[in-house]
Amino acid sequence: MENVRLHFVKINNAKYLSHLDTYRAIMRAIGRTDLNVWFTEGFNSHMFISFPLPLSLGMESTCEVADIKLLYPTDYVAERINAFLPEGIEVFNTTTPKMKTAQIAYAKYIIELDDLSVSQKDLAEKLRTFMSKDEIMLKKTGKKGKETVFNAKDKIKDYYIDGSGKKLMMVIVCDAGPTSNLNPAAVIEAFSEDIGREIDHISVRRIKILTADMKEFE
Amino acid sequence: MDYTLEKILRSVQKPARYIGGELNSIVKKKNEVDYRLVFCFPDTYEIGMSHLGMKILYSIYNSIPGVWCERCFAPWTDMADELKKYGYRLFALESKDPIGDFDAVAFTLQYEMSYTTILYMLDLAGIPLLASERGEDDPIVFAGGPCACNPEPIADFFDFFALGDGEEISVETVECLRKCKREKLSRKDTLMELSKIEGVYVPQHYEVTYKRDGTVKAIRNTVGGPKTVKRRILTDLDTAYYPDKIIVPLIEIVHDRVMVEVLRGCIHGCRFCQAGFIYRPQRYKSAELINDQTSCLINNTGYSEVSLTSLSTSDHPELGDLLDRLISWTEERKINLSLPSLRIDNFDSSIIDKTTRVRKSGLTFAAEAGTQRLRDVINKNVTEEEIHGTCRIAFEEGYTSVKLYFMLGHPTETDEDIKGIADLSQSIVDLYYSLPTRQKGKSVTVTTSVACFVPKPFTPFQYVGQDTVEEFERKQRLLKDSIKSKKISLKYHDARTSVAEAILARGDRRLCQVVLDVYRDGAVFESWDEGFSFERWTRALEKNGLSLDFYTSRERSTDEIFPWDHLDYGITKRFLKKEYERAMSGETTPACTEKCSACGVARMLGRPCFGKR
Ligand code: SF4
Repeated sequence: MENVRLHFVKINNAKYLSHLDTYRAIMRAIGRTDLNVWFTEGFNSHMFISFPLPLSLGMESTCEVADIKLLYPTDYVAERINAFLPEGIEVFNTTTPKMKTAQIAYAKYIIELDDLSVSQKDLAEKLRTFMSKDEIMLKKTGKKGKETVFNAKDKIKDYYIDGSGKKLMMVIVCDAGPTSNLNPAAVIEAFSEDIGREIDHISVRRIKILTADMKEFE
Repeated sequence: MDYTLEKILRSVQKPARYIGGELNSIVKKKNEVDYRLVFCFPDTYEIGMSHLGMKILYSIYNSIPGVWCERCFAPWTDMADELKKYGYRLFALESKDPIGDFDAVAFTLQYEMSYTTILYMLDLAGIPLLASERGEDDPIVFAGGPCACNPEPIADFFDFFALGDGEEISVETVECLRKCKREKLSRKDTLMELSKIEGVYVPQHYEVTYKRDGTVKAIRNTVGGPKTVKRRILTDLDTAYYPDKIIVPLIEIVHDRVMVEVLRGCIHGCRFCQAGFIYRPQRYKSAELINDQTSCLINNTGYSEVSLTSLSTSDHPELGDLLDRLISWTEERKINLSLPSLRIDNFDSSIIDKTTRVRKSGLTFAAEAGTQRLRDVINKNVTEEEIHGTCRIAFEEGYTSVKLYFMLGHPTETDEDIKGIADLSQSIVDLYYSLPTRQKGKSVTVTTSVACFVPKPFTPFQYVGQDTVEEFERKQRLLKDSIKSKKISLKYHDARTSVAEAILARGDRRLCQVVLDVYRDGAVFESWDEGFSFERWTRALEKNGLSLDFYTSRERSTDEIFPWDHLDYGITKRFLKKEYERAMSGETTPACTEKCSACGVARMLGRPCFGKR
């Protein structure tokens, strides 16, 4: 059996696909190829696919990973699958997994903001002020529907704001993975609420999945 | 995508409903097309995308060079709120262009309770709701589908209707529309040209007058056109267009699988079933073709499930051969076959076995009535022994749950017939426990699902008065009290929805104002429980001086002129009257393949329906 890690992008309209829909799209694309993938055993046999770090609805990514198992080594895996993927999802590399899901600790995102009625300088200033607060309190609904509040700043490792381009940009590194995770879109939502404006354009793109020692997840 | 649409999509549930871009969706270059239409389904994406007819028509329209057909579904209310908030007009999925700017807007009429959703979509698109208020720059709005057999309650909202099978008329009408556009004909002249196509019904060409008692006095073509409009019949399914690709949605939809139509129409003639009459005669595809179409669609979509659809799949004369062909390759590829619409009377264990090689799913049977007497009245020719025989086979194959469908409110129904539903369900529970082969320790579930009867045009029961809401509810209580076993799970539909449906099913043109008022009163997504309110309908009827009973519970005389009498579906009134009389005297009518009952369709077809072609 061959463990294969698919590295793919999820951009443009594909950002509107939920994780479950993405899973189904990839499974279906693989189903259309002649690849001999491993199916789980048992009553409800289905194709084995595992996603080490699911992406939230509305976000783009250039560094997604999914693991599958092939019955024997096969060439051109990416090309075969790509032929059947919907627009916006594309496998750009396949590797043999070196790391385990549990090693994921952080992820790096690029956030772009554009507001047609606020000058960029202004918006950048406001964002700087907001981000430099000691506390950015966010709400989180737990499994039983109970709301808890946490400080997002505890989960932000690093960030950088660049107001020199056409759109306001922020690069942010924050907790990712099953133990502690932060959705940076929630931070922007809180920012938007804070300044009392609906920002016209927000794009959040994941660009790196990182381990505890800031190495790229392989 | 512009910032506004981005913002809108960011704030709605399931944005993927509105983005298009699915595998096999069709995007053409705007400068290479000269006619653009949009196929609208008046329900959510998930429901509309599950509909086979829309997939076929989408493909047909787009197979015409120079024509681009896109899709549009009813946006959920959260999306509608956002669209209104930003003044953003309803758009088509493929290009995101507003549908109000298209050349033509087509709707499919699958169920009456979607009518108000049609108005909701037109409104969101900024298209005038009334055909008479549309200008030269507005799109031509038309519709087809089963409810087009009596489109009178929505006649004012449409420029034309296409009656009958859609495969050919869709191409002919779009070619005609294109020609009219090229020649810059006015709306009025365009409709005149269209009306020359067989199957096209232009409601504004007809004038309806009423008698004092509210029934129709006369229906007259006021522009010198045909007195009646004949529906279209496809004579051969084997040569009919069938898509080799279908769109694979990105999000989960209701029927998320390949669907292959195996036959159209039905040979049985259950007297309550409109589909059993308006799609006559039964026509089937050859096993070889079905097998080819299935494999082609599986290869082009990546689905691992296929459903063989029809009104009654087990009536396919080559079903055994077909299943053998399919299983020869689907099993190995782990493709699941499902056969909805099996009938109880011609069911054998080899079929169960073949359809469940990959995965077991539930079995459903339509018994329709609880006693043999009533089943004879409705011409549902299955016996209690057959139902038992079938359930025994199912149980012996390892099934532990079966679902039975019934209807309340059939003509001549008595309380004994209702208790019969409980008795029949109970006898199936008992049957399970009497079988020595049953799996030890496993219990059985019989789901008894009970709908309310709605009298429909072009059926022998078009004359029948429907039960009132109170009567339906009394019957539901009686049934509930008659069921003693916990192994029977009783499900019944809301009687009020069925009564509202009945208003529209046999309604006339005066209801257009009622539909409009109900919509203005806030109705949308009425086929969903949360969207429906009966009071809106009674209010609107009252406001317009119309009576509920006139449309629903009134028994109609066999010589009454019906609002749909100018539409010819091939079935003669003489036949329907005769069938109604036979029903009242409990006489059954054999299936078409046993004996032709001269319903009139063969005459329209110009040859006998079965036998030598
Ligand atoms: S003409 Fe005869 S065979 Fe044909 S549909 Fe009618 S009853 Fe059936």
